[in-house]
Amino acid sequence: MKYFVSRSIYTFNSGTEHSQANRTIMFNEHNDAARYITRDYNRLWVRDAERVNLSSNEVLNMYDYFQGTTEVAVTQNPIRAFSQIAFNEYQLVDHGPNYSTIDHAGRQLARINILPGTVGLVGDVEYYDRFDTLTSRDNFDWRGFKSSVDYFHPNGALGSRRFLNQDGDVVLENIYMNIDGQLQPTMWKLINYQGRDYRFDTEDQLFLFFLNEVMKTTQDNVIVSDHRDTDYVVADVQNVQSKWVAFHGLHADNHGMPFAAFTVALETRANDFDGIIVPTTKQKDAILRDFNQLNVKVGSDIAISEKHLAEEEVWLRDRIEGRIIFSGRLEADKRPMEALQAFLKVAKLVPKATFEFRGYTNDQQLLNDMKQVVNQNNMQERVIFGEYLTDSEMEEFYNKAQVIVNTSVGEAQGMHLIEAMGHGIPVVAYDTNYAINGLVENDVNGYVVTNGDQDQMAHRLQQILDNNVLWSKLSKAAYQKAREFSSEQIYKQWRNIFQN
Amino acid sequence: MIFFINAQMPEKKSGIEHAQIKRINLFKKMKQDARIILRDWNSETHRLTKLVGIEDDDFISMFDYYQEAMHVKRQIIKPADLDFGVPDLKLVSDLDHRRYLAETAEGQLVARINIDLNDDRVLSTELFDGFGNLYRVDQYDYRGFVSLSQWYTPDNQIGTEEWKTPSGRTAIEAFSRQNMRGEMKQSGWKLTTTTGQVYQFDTIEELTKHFFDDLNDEFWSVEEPNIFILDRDHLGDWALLNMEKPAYRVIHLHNSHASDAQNPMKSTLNQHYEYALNSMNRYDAFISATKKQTKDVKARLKPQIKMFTIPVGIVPDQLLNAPRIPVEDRQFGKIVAFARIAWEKHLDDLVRAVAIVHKTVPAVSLDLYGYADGSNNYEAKRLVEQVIKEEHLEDVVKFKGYTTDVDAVENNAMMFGLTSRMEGFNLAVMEGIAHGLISFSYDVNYGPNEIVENDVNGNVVPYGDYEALAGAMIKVLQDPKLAQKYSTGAYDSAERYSDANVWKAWKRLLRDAKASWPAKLAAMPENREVHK
Repeated sequence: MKYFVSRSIYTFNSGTEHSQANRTIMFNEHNDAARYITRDYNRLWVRDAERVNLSSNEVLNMYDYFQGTTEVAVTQNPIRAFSQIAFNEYQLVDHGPNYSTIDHAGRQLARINILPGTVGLVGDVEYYDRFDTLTSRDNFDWRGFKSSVDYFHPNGALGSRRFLNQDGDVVLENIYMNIDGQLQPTMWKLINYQGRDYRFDTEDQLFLFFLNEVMKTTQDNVIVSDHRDTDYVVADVQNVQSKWVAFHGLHADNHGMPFAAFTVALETRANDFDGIIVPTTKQKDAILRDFNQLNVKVGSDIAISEKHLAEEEVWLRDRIEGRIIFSGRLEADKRPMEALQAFLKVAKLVPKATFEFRGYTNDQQLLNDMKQVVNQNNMQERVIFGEYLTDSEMEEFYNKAQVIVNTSVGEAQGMHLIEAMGHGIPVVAYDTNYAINGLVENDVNGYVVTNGDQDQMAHRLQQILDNNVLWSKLSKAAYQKAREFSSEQIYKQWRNIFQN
Repeated sequence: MIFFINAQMPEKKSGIEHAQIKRINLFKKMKQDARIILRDWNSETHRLTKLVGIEDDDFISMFDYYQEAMHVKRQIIKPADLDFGVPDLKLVSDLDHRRYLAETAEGQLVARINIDLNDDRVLSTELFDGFGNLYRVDQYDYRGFVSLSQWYTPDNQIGTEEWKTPSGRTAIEAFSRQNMRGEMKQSGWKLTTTTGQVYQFDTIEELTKHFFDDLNDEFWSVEEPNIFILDRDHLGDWALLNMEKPAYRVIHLHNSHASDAQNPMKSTLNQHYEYALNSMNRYDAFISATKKQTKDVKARLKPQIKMFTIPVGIVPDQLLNAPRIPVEDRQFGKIVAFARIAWEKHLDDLVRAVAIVHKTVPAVSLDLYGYADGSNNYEAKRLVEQVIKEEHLEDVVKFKGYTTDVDAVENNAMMFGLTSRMEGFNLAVMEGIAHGLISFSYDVNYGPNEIVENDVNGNVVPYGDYEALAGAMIKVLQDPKLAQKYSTGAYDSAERYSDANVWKAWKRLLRDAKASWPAKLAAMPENREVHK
């Protein structure tokens, strides 16, 4: 069994989760069984997995495993039929789409928050006392069952969380107490796991126990740590044939100094792994320059499915003419403001040009700044800040676009650029490490411009938008380039890594 | 079903618990199904009830009821049976503190295990996380399962209390929070039923009401009402008054209804009964233990509802039929008193009377049986000791402490002395007459002046007149014929409290309950005639 390990699948995912999901699907499509393993508690993970095209049996979450709920099917739990409510005693009062309350004699005793993105399904139930303070909360899983119960300290902070199995028994307790005056989780305790209790001081100690238990259940195990937070845990896992670390980003700064998160894999625990897997030869070479004793392999972060490659090419007339896109997190390392500035230059010259951003942000300030710039330039009609899209929604986004820009400080592989090229979109990108030059060839499938040169970027964009013949040539080559990342090719690449 | 409602069956029982035990035994003997209801939680409930012969089938604890723990086979959990989830623990004995300490190999404390030294059984565990924080205390039921988990806050107070079924399901929760004045208060209760429904309550009284409603549903019958007899008012007066469906609801007075029992018409109402007495007509009946109190309550409060006089004391047939011991076979001049040495028992007056008697009849002696009450640094006992010292009675008056061998003591003594300031019944003097003791009492409400009948089984003298009390004693001590007459009168008068006579009084109440039922049922909305 192949195990690809990270923290979670999120509602909004970064490249790490995308590449891990992509690889899991690729292995399973080749009947080489693989599981996407997650550590964090996320009672909506089944939904989040679906959004990255993973089926629930391809994912194994630690909490789910101990709760014995890995194979539970989705059932709907509508609040109007919610068995916890004594409807002859209490009144369920609707307060719009997000929550209802359980009222008694004119007082709200409890609040039922609707499961996100559903109409009227139970998400969680918050119970209040006579001082109207929160006392406890029942958390429901996306699949319709009660997954955990939270209890709060008198000051309102989370005091303990108890995880339940399908019978409602507590199988795992997590408590929050003080360490040096700071409230934090201080204990995880498995209750009656195969007849015994196990107490852990940290979540990662529990995670290691979990991983070792899982490794006992299958043969010929290959384990890959995909998230830097899990490297030191995976380093200790036993019963595996081989053990790897996969990088999904730049491991070092411009001066070659490794980022702190990467030192576990590169230095302190390097001996515990069979090797490091990076998406490009350039990054491999960069690592070997500084750590020449390491076994570094190249494995693509992305594979384009054969099914997708077989699809018809999308012609210009079926796209939104002049649509430039930016895909990825709207955060400092992606430099979306630079892309916006370049667009503003194009916009003056090409009246039909529009610009669409897709990606989540944790940097609200940056997003606000960008919106302000858009407003100052009266470009509200032509610049779109779209919601985060699921994988299937991304298809449409790409198929409507004409050009993609990339202004990141660096790309380990540029998954989104490969995906975009898989949809026939030419690329205009800054010249950065490690992936850009391997992906984009000037005048073939796009243009590489000097890092930071907005004028040059604007010029290339204008050229492409104004010249349909040029666009068609670049688009064809983009489709062609994506074929290098066919699922067939990339699976072989990975299989060879693990077979060595 | 008939329910006798109380808080607990503690080791140190008051008259209320004794009355309930006698009552449930009488009902069992008469084959009338009844249950004692224990509203409050105690880990030792099933040991305490067993101790006084109450079987699991005879009582329902509210917590047991919701914890699915009414009938649980006992197992003894020993410290070595516990699993704290930490490998290689060692148990360090700390028996001075009645506990073991569970420590890691490095000496870190994982848990304190509090035990019963008699059998090494686990009473509770105090659990610590890996950073030395006490995060929970688990209280073990006598029958060997975790009944209550108390979750601690970072500042070491109990935050959430959680009562669980023997299988570990959370049944009842109580929360504590600061109110707007910053005081930590119990702020809410949560009940999760067997079928998973959740009920929320502000107070344990609201939970109690829900419990009464559940009992009323579970034992519902169209033949006769469930009878709820409240032996401790504060536990359920509000709950009884607010039940969802009809029942026959009764307040049992166990003490004077007036704060000054000697002034039953005018003195302020006894605060324990004030609420119930002011809402008397909302109940179905009141019970008092004496005719005198029934008469006084009726005169003062003029209730429209039934009042029943039912003695709380019962003299078992075995005792009634025991061979009578003539006065001449008893220790001449031996007076006994069975009472807590407490202010309201006023035993210093009894000693004053004995001092007077002693001057005329030097053979007189007084044995005081009962715990000394600790209030005001044992003030009551110190008052008694002061009189003993002043009157030089050190060889005459003795503190005997608590005894369980009442028969031996009372079959040997001659007289019983009683100088209380107030009473609700006084089981002790009833037992005294049942053993043929000649009784001397102040004319005090309620019980002493009814159980003791002047010139029949002893003498009742004016309240507070210890000289008269002494005079009556001297008269008896100087007149063997009179003494034998009173002793025989005592044995005879105990017949009033026989099983048969007390049961007769109960039957009157049961009949009234049944008679009330058709009208109560008919008044329920669901039973109204619908004219189509």
